[in-house]
Amino acid sequence: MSANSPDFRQQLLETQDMSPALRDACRKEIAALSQHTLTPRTSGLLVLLLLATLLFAAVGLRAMLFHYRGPLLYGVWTTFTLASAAGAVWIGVSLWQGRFQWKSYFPVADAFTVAAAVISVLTLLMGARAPADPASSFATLYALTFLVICVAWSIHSRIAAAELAAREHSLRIECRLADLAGRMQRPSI
Amino acid sequence: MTDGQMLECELLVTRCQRGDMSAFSSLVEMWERPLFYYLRRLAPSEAETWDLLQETWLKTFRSIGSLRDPRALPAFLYKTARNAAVSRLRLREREEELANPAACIATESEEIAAFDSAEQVHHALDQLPIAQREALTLYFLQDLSLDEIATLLRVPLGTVKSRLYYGKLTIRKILQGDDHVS
Repeated sequence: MSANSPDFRQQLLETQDMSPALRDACRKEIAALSQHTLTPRTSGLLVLLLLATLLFAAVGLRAMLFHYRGPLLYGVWTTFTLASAAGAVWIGVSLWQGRFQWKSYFPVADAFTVAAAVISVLTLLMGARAPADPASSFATLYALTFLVICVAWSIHSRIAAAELAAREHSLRIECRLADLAGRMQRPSI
Repeated sequence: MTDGQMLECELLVTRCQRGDMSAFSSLVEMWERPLFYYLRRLAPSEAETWDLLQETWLKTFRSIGSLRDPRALPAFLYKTARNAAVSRLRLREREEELANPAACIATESEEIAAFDSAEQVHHALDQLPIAQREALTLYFLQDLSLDEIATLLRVPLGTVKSRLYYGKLTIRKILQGDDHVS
């Protein structure tokens, strides 16, 4: 038998004895470990992000409560606070569960983009109301920068998600074709 | 590994990257035997082999999201497994002691060894020096190309061919010896 034949590989693998007790214990450990996927580095990064988003939410809340300067600015701060709080909750949940949810990553990018768009529109309206006020220009500049960053993040996330979805779809088709080809090659009884 | 199995493996990796936890379990099941076989050739005991396998999967789970090419999974798995074995068992030191740098480089025209019994080969493998044993195990498992084996072992391709050649010769001698005894 050639050492290159798949049968040889299979026979070789089957010659290796495994203790069922040790194997089951290992499988259980792997299943348990896979529930906690955060490395110390990722955890540290998430803690920093959590602190940053909490700080942003606190700043936004403070501005909402103590510095009321019209409904438009109030709307800006409300949106900013809600987006920061949502980010803090998402990071907090990831830390609490001890794992990073890839599926929740894409909607978060979208949520931040929507918030940035709302803030941009509101600051543009503020600028239109007070064109002589230099503060409105700066506010618009900051809002647009925030929007650009969020849009780039969101597009990147969307592309990554679409690539993975398309790859999975094409691989499913290829698997079916390979399976079909295998069945056709098999001699009929 | 057949083309169909390779495609299935790629599909499982992609599903893992999309957050499907059941795909990871299937991946563990699919690669359990080959990885165990490879690690068992390096580890002194079965318990230690399972520990190394566990470590391998933990590292794989953490890195699978950033694996750009799903087809690279076999090489990635064996590399992770080997690194775990090397760091734990100080394989590198043993490897340096046992590797023979004066071994000549085998030529391309050497014929592929044909063995009658996988069981006999399995027992003979354990009697080889560790450098030859590792190269031959990877070769017999058929999951990696010779280039990939060379990259994994961090040696030139010629050295891999040389180890395979001398490993096969040694196995033949061991098997002939067994035949004479029986």
